[in-house]
Amino acid sequence: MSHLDPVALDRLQFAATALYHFLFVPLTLGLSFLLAIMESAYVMTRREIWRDMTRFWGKLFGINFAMGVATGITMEFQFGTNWAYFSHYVGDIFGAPLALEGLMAFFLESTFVGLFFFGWERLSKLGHLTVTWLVAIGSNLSALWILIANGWMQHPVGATFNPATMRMELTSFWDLLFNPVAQAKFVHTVGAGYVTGSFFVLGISAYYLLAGRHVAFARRSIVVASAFGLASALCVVVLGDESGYTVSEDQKVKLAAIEAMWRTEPAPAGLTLFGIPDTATHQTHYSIKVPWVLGVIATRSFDTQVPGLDELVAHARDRIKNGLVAYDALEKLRQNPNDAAAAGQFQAHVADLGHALLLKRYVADPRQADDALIAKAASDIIPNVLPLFWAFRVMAGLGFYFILLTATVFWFTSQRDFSRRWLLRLMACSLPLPWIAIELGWFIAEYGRQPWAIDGVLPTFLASSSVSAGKVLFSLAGFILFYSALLVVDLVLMRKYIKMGPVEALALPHAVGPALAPAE
Amino acid sequence: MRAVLDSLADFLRAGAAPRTPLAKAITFALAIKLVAITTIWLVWFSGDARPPADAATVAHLIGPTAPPPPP
Repeated sequence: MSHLDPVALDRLQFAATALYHFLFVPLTLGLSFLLAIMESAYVMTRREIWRDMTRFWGKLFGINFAMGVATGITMEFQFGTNWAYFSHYVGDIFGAPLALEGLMAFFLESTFVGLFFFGWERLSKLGHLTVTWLVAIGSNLSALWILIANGWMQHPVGATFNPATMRMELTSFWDLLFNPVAQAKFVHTVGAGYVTGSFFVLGISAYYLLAGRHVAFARRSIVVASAFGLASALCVVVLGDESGYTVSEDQKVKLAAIEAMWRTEPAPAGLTLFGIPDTATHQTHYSIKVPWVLGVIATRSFDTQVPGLDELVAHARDRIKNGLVAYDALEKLRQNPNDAAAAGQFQAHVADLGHALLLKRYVADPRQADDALIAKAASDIIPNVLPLFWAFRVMAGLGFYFILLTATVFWFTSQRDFSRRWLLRLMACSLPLPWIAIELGWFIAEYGRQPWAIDGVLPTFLASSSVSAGKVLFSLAGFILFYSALLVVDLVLMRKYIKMGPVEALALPHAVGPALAPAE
Repeated sequence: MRAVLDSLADFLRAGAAPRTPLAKAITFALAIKLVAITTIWLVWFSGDARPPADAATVAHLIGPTAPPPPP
């Protein structure tokens, strides 16, 4: 086991649990709002079919919620064990949003979910509708806190390093809360969740129509999901653009890596649609470029350059040298906390302390590093370009496909035309695609941040605890087995109730409602 | 308020004594999950498994005496 890198295994374990947990979250986010929309239609029109739709999709929502709940908690276990130094270093900032998320998820969300399922016969129509909206809002607020925590890892604001406690400490809760990266991530992520919910409803409804079952139910579901899905898919792309803009402002290396932009180009830079990035030669082979597009999207201007990776590495060299001044001052402060000169020097250079820590990968005392070692550490700031480049293109391509598909479905539904079997088949086959896009989105966000656990502050290799590779491998295997079993249960239950359909699942006495008439 | 409390009581009762097949399946899966997560926590991630991390250990970790981590 000694040849396995414990840090890589820690990362793999965290990634596996996070990606698994994130199979459930987007559907909860999206389906909860669709339920609220369907129930609003019920309260406004008093047509029973809308109530049946809310209850049936609510059942599937319940299965997803129950299977997904608490699967994220194992990530918090890992913070304490696998990422103990990370937890100490940034726990002061990270802890607050995570605790708020826990409170929201366990108390607010779960309470309203209970009321949603067991309040149908007891609460008034308006009361139950309020509960359904609160389920949707509560689950989205949970996501907000997680994304505030994650946004801080991407763009650490409102905090400073305290040499006395050897940790980052919060200086402004408002800066943390209104971190532009977190806000952009939140709207982009929940928007992607809405698309997921819409595609789930579209795919299953298309399956019913192809089978000639529950026609009225499926048609109405498609009407709602195509409209909501189109609006959401448009938002995801627009807000993804905003997310890209914040990345270009605050995470220049990630942007350059996603675009395989090795060298700074004259403004406005072109967008590479296709290419094969070569990390060894810093070239992108067979590239197909669209002029200007990247520069305009990333900088919102025609004359601002997007820095290339080579230039960013050169900048990182300067930051490492600057950070070494802070590192030296920190060591002096540890010897003598009252050293005013060292304190002043530390404060002046603390922003680059994290870059000096990159040298710890190669040398015990970073101050002993020569220019060659500094250059080597600076080149570490480039993440693995090839998977990022392609993950982004697949994700973005899927985003545009979602717009195209939902717009097409919306167009035909507005004509009350549900007869095109090719479109129904396409809808059914597209059901898993939002999950692929979403998981790729997480991959880009997290893998693109490497080598940092906290961007520019704490390198990942220093954030991981010294848990043996064997132990991590063993627990990783356990997680994979356990989570795979849960996923199988989830899929079996989902399949069973989808196959049953609304009539059997809700024990309704007859087929659900009349088919949509042109006047409706 | 009464309706809310009664609904929540039904929710808790359904967890304790599920009646429908779906409620039974969900309660069973949740119980297994609870046991598994608790076991995972006790076996792999309990207090004993957590390396100490305080100002002194972090100072040592990033300080000039700690050797570089293995590649």
